[in-house]
Amino acid sequence: MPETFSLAIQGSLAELARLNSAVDAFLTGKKLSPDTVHAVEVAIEELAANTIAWGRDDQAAPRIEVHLTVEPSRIRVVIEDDGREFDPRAVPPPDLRVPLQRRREGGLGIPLVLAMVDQIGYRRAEGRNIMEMSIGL
Amino acid sequence: MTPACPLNGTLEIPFQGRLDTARCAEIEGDLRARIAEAGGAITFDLAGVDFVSSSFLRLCVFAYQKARGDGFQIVNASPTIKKVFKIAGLDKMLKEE
Repeated sequence: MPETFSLAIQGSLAELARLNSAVDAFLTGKKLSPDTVHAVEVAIEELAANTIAWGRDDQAAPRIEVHLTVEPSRIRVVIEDDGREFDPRAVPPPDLRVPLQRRREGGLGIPLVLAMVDQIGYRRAEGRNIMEMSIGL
Repeated sequence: MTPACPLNGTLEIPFQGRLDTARCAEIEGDLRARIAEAGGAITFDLAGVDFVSSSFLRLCVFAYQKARGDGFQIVNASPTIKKVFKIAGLDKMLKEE
């Protein structure tokens, strides 16, 4: 039987901290490599933080759901939110040809996620963004 | 975070724990002010750090650009943290150890 985890938050940085603690507690003791755990945590942190910062046009906090499933050879991560349409796969990687002295500070979060997960899918359904990722063990 | 300025003029800043978006939002104002005031080289010591978010990478880019000519470097990063800097194209900041 795969082990699963689900939690929904009303998006704020305080709620994100609560989510991170719960994810960390779920992953601890599962004999996963530090890199695997880190990739899961980076994906949740960056996608949720992005939704909290940019997800809504109004002042309302977006609702963010995280579902994790630990399977024999991979972890599946599903993140859903009710923010504006956003396909993370469309975010370009940073231009590494630009010297560090002139590099822009931001824009690194989503490319980090895209580089650290093995697969990522996206769909928009019923006003929600649904991102499905797979990270190999 | 306890910034210290040793005699050689390098601003050394040790970090602890999880440098996620929420934590970076807490420390950003003070950290940017100290970096902007620093007159020489800047070193971030990540010996006690187990997670960095893109918010922290932004602060590293800021520090690198402010320390122009004098040097900015990251020391004591774990292999997992080093990987994040490499993916982000910021591995030039890592001190060779």
